[in-house]
Parts: sequence; structure tokens; C-alpha cells
Amino acid sequence: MGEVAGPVDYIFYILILVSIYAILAVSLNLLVGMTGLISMAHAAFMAIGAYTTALLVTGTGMNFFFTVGIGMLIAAGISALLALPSLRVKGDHYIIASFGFQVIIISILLNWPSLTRGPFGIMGIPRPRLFGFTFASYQSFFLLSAGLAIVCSLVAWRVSTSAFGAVLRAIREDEVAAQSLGKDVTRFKVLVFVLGCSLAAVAGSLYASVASFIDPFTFDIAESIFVLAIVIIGGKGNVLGSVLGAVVLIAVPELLKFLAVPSAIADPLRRMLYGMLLVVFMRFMPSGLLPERAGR
Amino acid sequence: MSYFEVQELSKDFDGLRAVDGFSSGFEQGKVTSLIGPNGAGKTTVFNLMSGFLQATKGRVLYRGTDITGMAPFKIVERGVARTFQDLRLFYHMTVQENVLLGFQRQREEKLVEAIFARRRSRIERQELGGRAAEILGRLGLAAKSRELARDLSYGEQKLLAIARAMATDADLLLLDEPAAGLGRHAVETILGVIRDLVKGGKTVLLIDHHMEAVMGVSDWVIVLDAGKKIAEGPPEQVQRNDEVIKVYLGL
Repeated sequence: MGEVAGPVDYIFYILILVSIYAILAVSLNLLVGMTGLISMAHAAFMAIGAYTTALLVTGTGMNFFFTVGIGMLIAAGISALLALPSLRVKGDHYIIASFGFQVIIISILLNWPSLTRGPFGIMGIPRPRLFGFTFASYQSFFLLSAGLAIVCSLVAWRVSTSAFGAVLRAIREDEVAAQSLGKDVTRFKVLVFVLGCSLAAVAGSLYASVASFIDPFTFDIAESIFVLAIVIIGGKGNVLGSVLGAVVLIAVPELLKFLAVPSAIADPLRRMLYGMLLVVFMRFMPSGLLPERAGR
Repeated sequence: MSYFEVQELSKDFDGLRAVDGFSSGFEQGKVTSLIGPNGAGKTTVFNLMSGFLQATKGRVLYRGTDITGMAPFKIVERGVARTFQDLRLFYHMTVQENVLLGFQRQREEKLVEAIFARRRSRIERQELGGRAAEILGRLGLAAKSRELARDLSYGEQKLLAIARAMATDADLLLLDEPAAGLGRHAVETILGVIRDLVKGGKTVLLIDHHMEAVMGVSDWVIVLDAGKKIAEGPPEQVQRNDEVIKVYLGL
């Protein structure tokens, strides 16, 4: 992952990861928290953004910022195709459909070597450039990723505080009642799904650029579950909760690195910590760190 | 042409005929009640009228347009709204939020406007807040507007269900057991609300078990038994109908 030189770089690298995962969590929260649509495919949409950027930047030399837009459009198109049939089914069937989609995307990335180089992944993805300035240092890249995280959070916040967001929460609580009040439930679900997935692509583009290397394994189902964990621990339906969840689940385990434990132990220890956090939160704090509040 | 009409409406559930060739016309600006023993098919009729169930046979006409088989939200858009026996409130939302959700075609319900045009929708939001307050005021719920729906008393929850349906601005309101399970005072409140609605130009179709309430408020009563219409007429006439007495009171 790039070349992390000193402690300052390291801290900024962690902050960049926090902002990337904040984008993922905030966008997934639109689906899971606000609408009650549990999606297991968020890493797949992140992969779509990451591969779009990686392929276009390394293959055609296109500017990073254009590739972000294109990645969002591709994610939007694919999510709409996925949403139209699967969001018509009731309730939990969608979870399975999204799980299937996650598996399909990773299989395509692995088995289409002429485009994606399969399991070898794509190397040498350059940093973004804007008007002659290259976001080469971790500090400058952090400004970029944090800026995009703020924009995405603002979008999610506006959705959540609007009448559109109110309908999403109504759908989550009682779809039939929402229909009885004249709401086209499918339209709302498809739109929020497309929005959430295209924001996940933004996170993917950023990730590809900061890591400079991506492969299909980066975006496997464990990644989808990890983002789901951030949303749940941060607080379902609360935009700031997702940001806080990203800070806690990314930064806190990193602190373990400063303990004098060999990495062979620290790594499994970190995974165990995730698992334990999830169990503890589900038992004692099911609404997360920052619970959703009623009232518009 | 009737204002609202059902023609030969039938609904089968796995061989069981819940509604059997039910035809009737409903007059605008009146209260019509649908009564009958448990299992007579009253709620099924409501579900067919509001698009939540597909009819096996027959048609539902509203202002001359065939609305049979339309999606529920489209039927609401046309001006027919309903409440549910089990209320189906948004219990984790405030009373005000419940009512706000009833308003149709809000600017901010468009995703693009919700994200990019908040300044423009601010005026509309204030206006809707005012309309919600007015509806809640009419139903005596003004003081509760910031409370969660689940914290209301049962009677207040029943009023809120009506408030929400009123917010859709529908002309025809299908109220499923609005007075059931309430004490005398609360029943009076609900009946007052129904009378006000009709005075304000609405048409109400009512299901209820509360005989006194039904007879007191209805202009017309339709009696269903085993999915079939067995009688209809003004309340005093239906009350004296021998077959109705037999079926309904089990005498």
C-alpha cells in the first residue's frame, strides 16, 4: 500500500482510510439504517469504482476526477439493473440477492484477466492530479478524501432530513402503511439504492488511488460485512454515527499496533476485537454509538 | 354513474370465497357503513378497493374510472385513502411526522430536490407544517405533535390514523373500525370527526362493530355475511331487517 515513510505519514494514511470507510458507511447507512435494506454488496460497488479508476487512469491516462464520475455512473447503472427486479421482492429476500451479486462481481473481476488482470490485480495506479497539482503526499490526499467524505456525508444528511428521507424511514417501519399514504415504495427504494451504490464507487476510486494497487480480494464479502459493522456500531440511521463508526473501527484497532505484540498475534487479535465489538454492541447497545433520533 | 361503485366484486383465497359477487354504489358526501359478523369479508372488501388485494372477479370504479388492480399508491393519488384495523402507524416517529407523510407530491420527495434544492422547498415545508398542525388541531392532537406515536393512548392513535389519511387530501376515506375498542367518550370524539369530514365535503366508508356508533353516524348501511351482501338501506330500516337480525345477532 503506497510507501508509508514516517509516523506522520502513517497517521495521515489511517485518516485517509477513515475517510474512505466513512464514505462507505454513510452510503450504506442510507440503505441499511434509513430504509431497512440490508445490502451485502457494498464492497462490490466499491470495487466497481476502484476498477473503473484503476483501469481508466492506468490504461488511458484519464484524469482521476473524471474516472470518479464515470465510476459513479457505472455503479448507478448496475445498481439500478440489480434493484429493479430484486427490490420488488419482499423483505429479506433482498439480502440474499445482494449477497449473490457480491459473489458475481468478484468472480467477474477474478475471471476476466484480459480486462482486470484477474488475481494479479492492477498495480501502479497513480495519485490524482488537479490543475497541475498532484495529491502525492498523504497529507494532501487526506484533504481530498476528507473533502469527498464531507460532501458524501452532506448528501446523506440532506437526504435523511428531507421528506424523501422521511419516506425511507416510513418504508423501513411499515411498507404497507407507506403505500397507503400514496408513496411509490419501489421508486424510493430504487433511488436510494442507486444513490448509496454510486457513493460507494467514490470510496473505491479513492482507495485505488491511495493504495496504488488493487485486486479482487480487496473487495470480498468480508469487506461488505465490515462496512455493515461500521454502520451498525456507529448507529443505524444516523449519518454522524457512520462517520464515528469508521473512526472507531479503523483507528482503534490500529492503536493495537503500538502495543508490543508481534504482528502474527496482533492481526488475529484485531479480527477478534471486531467480532467482540459486534457481539457486545448487539447485546448492550443495539442502536449504536449515536442512535437515530425521531423528529424532523 | 355512481361516485364510487363496486361491480360483482369477488375474492377467492385458496378455494375460500371471502367476497362473493358484491355490488353496490356509494353516494358522494355521505357516510356508508359496511357491517357484518366477523369473517363476513368487510376488510377484504377494503383491501380490494384500496389496491392491497387483487380481485378474482369484478371491478371497482371511482368517479367513473376503473381502479381495479391499480397499485395502492396510485389509488391514493386519485383520491381514495384508507386506514387499517391494526392502525399501522409509524410508531417510532412523532405524531407530526406521521401526518407529514400523508401529504402528496412534496417537492422534497424528489431525490434531486432533497439534495440540491433545500432553499426552494423551505417554504413548502413551512406550509406543510402549518397544514399538519391544522389537522392535528381539528382532531385535538395539537399538544401531542412532538410525541412518538407509540406513546399515545389507543384512542389518540386511532385519531392519528385518521389524521394521516386526511393529510392525503383524499375525497373518499375508507375507515376500518375507527371506533372499535374505544370507550364511550372516545367513540363520541371519533364520530364527531367523521361528521366534520362529511360536512367538509368528504365521503366516508366505514367498517365497524360498534352498532350504536354505526347507526348514529351512517346515512346508508350495507350488511355483508359470508362475503355476500344480504341487505342495504338507511340505518333504521336495516336495523329492523329480519335477516340482518338473524345473521348479525345470531338469533
